Amino acid sequence: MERKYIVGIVILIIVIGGAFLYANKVMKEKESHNETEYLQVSQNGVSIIVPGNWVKATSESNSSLLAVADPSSKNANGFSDISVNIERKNITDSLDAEFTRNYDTLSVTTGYQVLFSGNVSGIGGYSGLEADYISNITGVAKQHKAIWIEKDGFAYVILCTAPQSSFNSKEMIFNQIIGNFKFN
Amino acid sequence: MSRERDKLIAVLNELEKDYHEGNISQEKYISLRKRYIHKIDTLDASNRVRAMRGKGPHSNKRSGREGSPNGYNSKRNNPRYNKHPKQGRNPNYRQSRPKGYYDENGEFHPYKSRPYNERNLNNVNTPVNDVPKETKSKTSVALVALFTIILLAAFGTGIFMGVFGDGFSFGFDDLLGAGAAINDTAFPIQDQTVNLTDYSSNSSDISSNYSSTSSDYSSYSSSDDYGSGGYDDSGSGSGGYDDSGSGSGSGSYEGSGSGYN
Repeated sequence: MERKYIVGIVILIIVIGGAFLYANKVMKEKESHNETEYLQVSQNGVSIIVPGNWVKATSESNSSLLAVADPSSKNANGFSDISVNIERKNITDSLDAEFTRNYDTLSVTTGYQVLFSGNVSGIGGYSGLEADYISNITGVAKQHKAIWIEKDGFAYVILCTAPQSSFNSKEMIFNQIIGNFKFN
Repeated sequence: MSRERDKLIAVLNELEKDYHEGNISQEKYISLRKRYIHKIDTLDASNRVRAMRGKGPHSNKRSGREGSPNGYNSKRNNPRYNKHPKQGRNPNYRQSRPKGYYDENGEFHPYKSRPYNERNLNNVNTPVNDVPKETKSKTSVALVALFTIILLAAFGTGIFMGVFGDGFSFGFDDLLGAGAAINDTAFPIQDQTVNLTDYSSNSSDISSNYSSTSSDYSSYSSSDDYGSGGYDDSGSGSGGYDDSGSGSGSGSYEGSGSGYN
């Protein structure tokens, strides 16, 4: 092969490789910036802030008002493992009763394990209840943090979910989301 | 002519030999070699002219050699191709080629280019230096342009891979900006519509669980918040459980409800 062809191929490889590395570096920087940058998302009368690299999600739950997820956490079934789902439920008696009934049932249901339940305050200007629990329905252990608050006869639940192995690393994001929850 | 030429070749070979044996300096060798090659080329040119004019046989026949028109059997025997390892390619090679062209009548026109109207680019016998300069220039410009386009395309490919590629596997979901879907809910039991038969089969568990938790609820009943009326309502309203399921479930709920009465 003539020398000029070899030189040409080498130049091509250098150009492609250089462009690839440069663009990759720029995208990595952008992604890391997005992780620290939060965006506000509002829907169905509730508002939260989410990391810039998260997206709105569709929830299978009929009670869902607003769902967001980390798109990079998509599992084999197409669902995102790291998510926040805000749901609303009509309460017939009181928030405490609904809360207790829900987690008493969960605690004795196969695949669920309640870790903690207690009171919380300062959620969108309201006080509420918190339950942390583990579910293992699909073979992957997920940890959940559920914050219940009551407004106008409805229980609003902010459900934060992540795989149990990575829940602690995502808890800061969840706390940011919960701490900035607002009713519109 | 041919004898003179042979003599010159012999002298050239002698010169080559002397140089390899170190009898003469490199400068002298180059100078003499240049001179002898020039003489040989001049002889060759005049031979060709004579042959074209029909004034004598081609030197091939006289010398009894066959092959190339200038009488050399191969490059190996051609002193123009003989090169010293230190010297590289013979610098006189291009100069030694006779400049000019043969017209249709076989007449040689030294140091002239064939007129454009007589040129036939498809003719393989057309001398290389007869290719129009404009064609050469256009070809090289086209090549440079093609190479530039290829470089730009390569650059674009690299950028594309860097931006949208996850390593070397493409994330087309990200590319299309596809949203996410989730299946987690805060009310997994109430919202569970997966398998009602499973649910009814578990209803005995649930009823036993509820009856077992009745003591817990009875402790709540001691508080003012959970008046019997309130829980009676929820007891009858435990239609959530009635819907999902089963008579035994609701029955057990009534049982637990009795705890609050």
